[in-house]
Amino acid sequence: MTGFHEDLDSIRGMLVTLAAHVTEAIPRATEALVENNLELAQNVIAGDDVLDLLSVQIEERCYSLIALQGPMGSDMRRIVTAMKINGEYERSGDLAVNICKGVRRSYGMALTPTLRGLITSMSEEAVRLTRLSIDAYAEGHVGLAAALGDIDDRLDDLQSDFIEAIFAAAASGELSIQETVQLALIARYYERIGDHAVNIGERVQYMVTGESPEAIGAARADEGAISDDDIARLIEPEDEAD
Amino acid sequence: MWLATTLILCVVLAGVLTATRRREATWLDKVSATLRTTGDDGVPPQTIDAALDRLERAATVEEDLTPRRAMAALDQMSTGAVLADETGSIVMRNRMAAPFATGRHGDALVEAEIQARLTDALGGEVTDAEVRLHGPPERMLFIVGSPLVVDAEVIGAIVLIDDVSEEQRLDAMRRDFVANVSHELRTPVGALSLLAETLEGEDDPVVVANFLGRIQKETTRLSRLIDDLLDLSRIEAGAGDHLEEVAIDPLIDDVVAALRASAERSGVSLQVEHASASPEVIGDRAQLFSALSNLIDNALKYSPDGGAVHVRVAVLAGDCAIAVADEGVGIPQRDLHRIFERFYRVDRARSSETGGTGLGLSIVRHVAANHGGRVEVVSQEGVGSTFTLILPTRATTQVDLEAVTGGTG
Repeated sequence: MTGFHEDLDSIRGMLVTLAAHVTEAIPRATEALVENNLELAQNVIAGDDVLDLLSVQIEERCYSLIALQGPMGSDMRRIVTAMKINGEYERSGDLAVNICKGVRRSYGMALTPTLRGLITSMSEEAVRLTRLSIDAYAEGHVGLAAALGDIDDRLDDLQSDFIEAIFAAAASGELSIQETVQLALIARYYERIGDHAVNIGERVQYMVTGESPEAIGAARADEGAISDDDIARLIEPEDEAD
Repeated sequence: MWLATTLILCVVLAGVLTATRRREATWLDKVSATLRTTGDDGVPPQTIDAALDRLERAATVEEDLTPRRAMAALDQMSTGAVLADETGSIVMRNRMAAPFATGRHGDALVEAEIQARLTDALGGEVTDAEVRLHGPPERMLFIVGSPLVVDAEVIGAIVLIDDVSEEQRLDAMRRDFVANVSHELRTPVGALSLLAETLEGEDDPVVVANFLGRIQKETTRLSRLIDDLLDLSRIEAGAGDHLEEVAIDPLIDDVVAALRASAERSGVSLQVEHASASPEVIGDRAQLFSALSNLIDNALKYSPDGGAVHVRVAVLAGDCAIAVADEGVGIPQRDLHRIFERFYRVDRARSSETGGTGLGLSIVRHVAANHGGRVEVVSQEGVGSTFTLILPTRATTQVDLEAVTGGTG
């Protein structure tokens, strides 16, 4: 029987492997997209099963540790963080799969060099953010974790540039409406991968310090900066519309 | 070759594993013997500390260096090796395999594959896997796991990791070179043959004139290809004997003057920005002219009508950097590391439009290397490319020469 901290280290190792699968899946999906490579797209989609299996194993390990060891304090935060970021990476893997499904739907689409260049740049930024997020987690680096939000701004800017470029291409007849919609969705997938990396950064801050940026916002709401009525409207906007 | 390496390694590592076990047994024997027998002072050790001191002295004198020698030998190998005992616990990693244990990103995936191969090997199976890492850097690793069997008993397992990225790159380069060179040579020759055949039965003077013009164009293309091949062959032989002090600013002005007409025909503006200090390099003027001419000519060819090509010169840390930036189609990331290969084409369909021979960047790379420099490229599709030729300046070259010759003072 291994010790509690060996088990925690093992979970960290599994998360590092999970993140590595994601950082490999993103550029492969991009290659499939810019080269219209259906076989590669299919490989990425099939490869997601490995990622899902690993994610399930991590989750089970975490449940098992909580049930058997009753961790407290920082140990509990490490397990909870592992469970949370496990979900974030698994979702990022799904987004890489979504990009590949977009390749299938828009097979034969001719991308202009400008669009190919912007897609490649978005992909590189998404990979960079994912890599930095796992570095921040593995090293417990709060500064790096906190910086991920600012680093993500570049990916957001690229997404805006890309949306402008596809609208321009659609207006000049280089892209059909269906292709434009597909590409807008694909840009959103890259942008979401960046958001997941930022979320991981927030979870790492919580793991190390015990406080997360979300909790600070929640505390402000609790202190009355946001009234209960405001919160009720935020939660149920449909009722207000009715 | 692979099998032989595996077999040799298995024998060496099985030796290490059994030696480790034997050493453990010997160590226990020594402990009990030391505790039972008297020492130099004629009495058995009276305390645990005294017994440990005596053991330590004995170990220093009698340490068996064989396992350490084997380990040092394994560290010299370019193949990664991971050795596990029969329970799956890793007892040894050599230098090449060590980074995977704590690695992240691509290395973490290699480690996962190592663990999978170890599990198979402990079950008595020899299995292998190829791991392709998109990177960056892009890598291809070949991983094989084998059981270590002594007297029909699996006493452990070994996994060997070979980085075959460079071999794969060279294979692709060789394969593509043959295909590309035959394409470049056959295209004009095939066109000439067809045009001549058609001309044979043609009487219309307009058609004949048109075909003769095309024959001339194809002949020029073939002639340029042969010239470039000869240039490349000469440049590959080295920097030549005509080394002289070459002032970079006038050289660039000469190249730009030669290409100005071509730029105007293409509707591309060609702008030059010299460095504040006029740098000089020691080199072969003709080769440097050829390299710069190729870089600027390429930038012009791949620029859209109305685009601009900027040539900027700067002196940085003793090096002269000449950057040629265009606003052209850019180069896809997957091709960036291959564009300096002979006859490599990013877009073969476009090569007939640009009229290049596919040797220009190869020439640039060799010229840079001949002058102790290098060429770098940054590119984004749809935005443009910047090629930077970096050469040591005359001052740096002289300092190097003085260091080699012991100086003149």
